[in-house]
Formats: sequence, structure tokens, C-alpha cells
Amino acid sequence: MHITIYSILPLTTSIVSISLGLLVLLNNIKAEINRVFFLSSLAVFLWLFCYSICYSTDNEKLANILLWIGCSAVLFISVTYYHFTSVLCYKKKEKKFALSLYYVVLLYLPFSFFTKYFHTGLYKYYFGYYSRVGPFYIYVIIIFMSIISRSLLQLFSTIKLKLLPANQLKQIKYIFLAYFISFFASIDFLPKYHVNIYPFGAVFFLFWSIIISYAILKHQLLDVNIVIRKGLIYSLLIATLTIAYLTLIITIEKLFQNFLGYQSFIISLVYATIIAVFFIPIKNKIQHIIDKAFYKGSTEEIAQENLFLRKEIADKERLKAIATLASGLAHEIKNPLTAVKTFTEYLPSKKNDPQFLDKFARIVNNEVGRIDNLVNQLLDFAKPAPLNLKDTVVEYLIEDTIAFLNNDFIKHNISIVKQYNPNEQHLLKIDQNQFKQALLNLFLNAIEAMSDDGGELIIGIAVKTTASDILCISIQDTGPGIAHEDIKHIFDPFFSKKDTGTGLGLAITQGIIQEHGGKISVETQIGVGTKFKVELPLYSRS
Amino acid sequence: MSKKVLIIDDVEGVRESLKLILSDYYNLIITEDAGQGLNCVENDQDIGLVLLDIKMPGYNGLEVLQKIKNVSPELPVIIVTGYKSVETATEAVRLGASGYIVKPFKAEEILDVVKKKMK
Repeated sequence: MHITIYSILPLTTSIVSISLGLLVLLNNIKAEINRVFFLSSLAVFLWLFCYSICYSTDNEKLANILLWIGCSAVLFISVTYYHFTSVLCYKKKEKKFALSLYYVVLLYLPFSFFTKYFHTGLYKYYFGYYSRVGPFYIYVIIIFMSIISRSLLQLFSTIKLKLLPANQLKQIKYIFLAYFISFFASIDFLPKYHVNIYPFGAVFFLFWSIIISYAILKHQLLDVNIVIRKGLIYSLLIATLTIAYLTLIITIEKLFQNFLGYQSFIISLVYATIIAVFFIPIKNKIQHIIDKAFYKGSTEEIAQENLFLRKEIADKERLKAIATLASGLAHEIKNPLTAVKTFTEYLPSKKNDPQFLDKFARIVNNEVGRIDNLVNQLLDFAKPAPLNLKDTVVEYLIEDTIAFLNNDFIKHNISIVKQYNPNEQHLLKIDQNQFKQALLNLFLNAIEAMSDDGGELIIGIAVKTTASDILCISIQDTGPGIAHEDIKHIFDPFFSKKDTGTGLGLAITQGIIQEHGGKISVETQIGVGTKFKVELPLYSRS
Repeated sequence: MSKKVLIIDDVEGVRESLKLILSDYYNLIITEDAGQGLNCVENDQDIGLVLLDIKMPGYNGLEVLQKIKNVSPELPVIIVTGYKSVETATEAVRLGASGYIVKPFKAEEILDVVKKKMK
């Protein structure tokens, strides 16, 4: 067996596809989306690799088996596509359906192998062996088309309805383009019905790989974002050029044989060398162009620079917050220090005064506790734990927090008014613990405001659609309201109107919300109440 | 009988500390509430000195100082604060404060200042 010109396109594309899949998988093996993408590229590899061998082999038996594997892989591609887009667009129900489709494909395998309804054998075309299909195969095509259309529709509706944040939508647009183009590979079904054309569908999968690689490089698709390997783009480039190179050589060889009627090793060597001489500068030139287009310096340099920049910005913000905090902390900590200092100063002269000792025990203990509390909160604030982002149904989280504070609500005669549907599910990508703390602080604040006369705690959830979808959570109390001169300070660290408070609650809440890319605002009216509004990017709803 | 010292501070530990230091020598009026403190200044002619806590700059301690000075321009007011900054000190003096004590203070320090102002 020697590789014919017809094998080059599917063979190269299959190798490009599996390389891309492996790169994505190894970059983040734990991420579901990366694993599903690998499955897709594995299916593409199986399909094209098996067919490419059939175009070069004379062994009919081998071809028969390879054609069956390749043909089955095609159906598998559609299911992995659907699985991939469901995960990408956060469609939980559709993902379940996609998973069940895997079983359908597995059931199909023995049927197609042992019966003649789907596979009946093979055709011998000018380009090599190709599948010959039975009467029921048309249904396979229909299912294939429906599944892929459904995937495309999923992507399309996500883009159209702007269901995800802008940067993710940008990625999805590329995926949509890549998958849409790959749909044209359906041209490869035709030779299965004895239409004598070369199945050039692999071309569209080459485009698929290129577009997805581009999205990875430019838009951090699939979390391949730490240090982007130059190798990815180069291997694609070399693969594409190799196709051109081999095609040229084999075509010229054919031309020589046909027109000149002889075959000479020396002539072959000469033109291969000539092409190779031109090939290298062309490759270098293209590499140079790609370097310029994608990176200003080298990839590593850029990635490193980005990392530093991001760290520097984070450090600066943190330093600023700590500076504000430190001055507040100095004042806050000096009060308890004053008490401890004065009382210990008087201890030697008053150690026999029981009244003094009582007071000493109480005050010093209280004040030390206050310092301890302050330091703990300061640590929370100054060094926020890294966010552990998880898909979270915000309704559940709110219900949880309400349940947690239930006793306090009853104690202070506060009734909860839910201006949202508890059965609805709005999905946010948040750190559950930190976000719960943020909610808790807001609830505690409301309880504090209504602790004297009771009242209503009104909780609302609404979706605001602007450039992207924003989820608004409102928490409203019917307390006395906040004075006009205080309202601008309520998020400042150490601003407190309470005797017991440290003034860090709302500052911490604001920090957490901002860390999640959201914002918090407040409206108040004296004698009517106060309303806090938290706005966060929405990931999905159902 | 000498005049009274008015202490305005929202932290119990600080109030108790000042009480501990001063109660053997002076009559004290102690309050945690600035409004109540102002009332005392308005109604009690026997007050000879105010020890006033101010929080961070921009907050209401300096306003209270201003109000006391409006009601009773001659009454000496000593600022007690944990926030040691030139700006706040200057501002306090500009508004008529007679002294400036930084927390945590020594008992002696308080006694000295109060003794001087109560003469």
C-alpha cells in the first residue's frame, strides 16, 4: 500500500483534528467542556483516518471494516457536537438528552455491523474504496442532520438572545461559524449513494480546526489561556503546507507519467528538491506574518506580561483598600487599647477593690474580644480567598440564607415578602460561600434596621437585558432609612452607626460583589426604608 | 464645688477608662450620644470642660465640636481621638478645640490636661 493523493486531505485533517483535541484535553483535563471537545475531535479523527486508508489500500476486507468504523464515527460526531454545544450554552436538559443519544449510537453499532439495512458493502471509485449503504441509512442521515441542526440552533439562540456574557458570546460566535462550515462536509454522503465525486468534506473540517484554533488563540476559548503554545498554530500551518507540498509532488509525478510516459527517480528527486527549496521560505514568511498578526512579542512574553499586569492591578487595588482600612483600623483598635491600657494601669493600686475588679474583668474581656473580631474581619477583607466559582441557582441560595436567619426574623417580628418565583431558576457563576456571606450581611443589615418595630423584608429577583443579561437581586427593608449625609459612606470600611458593629459588613459585601464582576447600589427614603440592589451577569435561566 | 467634666464617647471601654481616671477628682457627666452631650452643654451651666471623641475625618466628631462652640464659645473642648493626623488636629484647633489627646492615653496625661483647663 502506498499513500495516494486522495488520502492526503483526510489523513492530514484527521491528524490536525486529533492534535487539536489532545491539546485542548491536556490543557484542562478536568473541565467537562474540554473533554467533550476531545470526544468530538476523536470522532472526526476516526472518520477521516479510516476513510483515508480506504483511498490507498487494495485490501477489500480491511477497507470493509474501516469503512464501517469511519461511517459509525460520523454519527458519533453529531452526538458529540450536540453534547458540546449543550455544555457550552449551559443547557442542562439538552445535555441529558445528548447523553442518552450516546446509548442510541451504541445500539446502532451492532445493527449496522451485522445487518444489511445500513451497510451493504463498498464501492470502488477512482479515488479508492467507499461505503455502500442500505435502505435504512437515509434515517441515519436524517438523524445526523437533525442533531447537528439542533446544535447549531442552540448556539444561534444563545447568540441571538445574548444568554451569556459578552466574552463568552464572542467565543460562541466562532464555534457557530466553525460548526456551520463543517456542516458542508455532508457532501461526503453522496458517494455512499453511488454518486461519483471525490468526498472532499475534510476540507470543511480543516476550516473547523483553523477557526477553533483561532478562537483559542484570540479569545481564550476552552480555557486554553495560560501560556498559549505557539506550537498549535505552527502545527496547523505546517499541516496545511504539507498538504499543498505532497499534492504538488504527486500531481507532478502523475503529469510526468501521463505526458512524458516515463518515470525517473532522479527527475522526481529534482522537482521535490525544487519545491522544497521554495517551500521553506514560504513557510518562514507565513510564520512571520502569523507572528505579527497574533503576537507582538513572543507568545510566552505576552502571556507573562499579561500575568504581571493582572497581578499588578489586583495588588494596587488591594493596597488601596488596605490603606483605607488601615487608617480606620488604627482608630477602631485604639478604643479597646485605651480601655485595656487604663484598666491595667490602675490594677496595682485597685487590686483590692472588688467593684473595680468586676469592671476590669468585663471591660478588658470585651475590648480584647473587639480587637480579635476586628482582626478577623480585617483578614477576611484584606486577603479575600480566591473565588471558587460554581454554577449556582440564585433562588436556592436566597432560600438557604433566609432559612439560616429564620429565628432572627421571627424574633424581630419581620415578615419576608418574596417578589420572585421560588420555582424559577436563574443560574449564576459564583462562589457560593462568599456570595452567601454577602447576602447574609445585607439581610443582617435589614434586620438591624427593623429590630425595633419589625417590618417587611422584600426580596426581588429580576432580569435586566441590556448588552448582556444582568440579574438584579433587590433586598428592601421597611426600616427608618439612612440619613442623606450617611448614605455616601455606608460602603466605607469602619463606617457604622451601630454601637456593636465594626462597620465592615457592607464593605465586605461590596468587595465580594465586585470580585464577582457585579455592582451594588442603595436607595433610601427616610421613614420608608432602604433598598439594596445587587447586579450580576446572568449565565442562564430556566 | 468645682465644675463638671462632660465626657462624650461612643465606646464603653473609653468612657469607663476616663471615669476611672477622673472620678476621684471631678464630677463627671458621661454620655455616649453626641446629641445628649449637646443638650447638657446648653442646659448645664456647671460644665467646665468637654472631652470629645472624634472618629475619622469627615465624620461627625468635628461637627459636634462646632455645635458646642456655637452654643458656648468659651467652654474648653479637648479632642480625644485614635486618629493621629496633622489635618484633623489643625482642623480641630481651627474650630476652637483647646487640646488634642491621642488614644491610647496615659492616666497622667488626661489628669494633667484636665487639671490645667479646669483652673
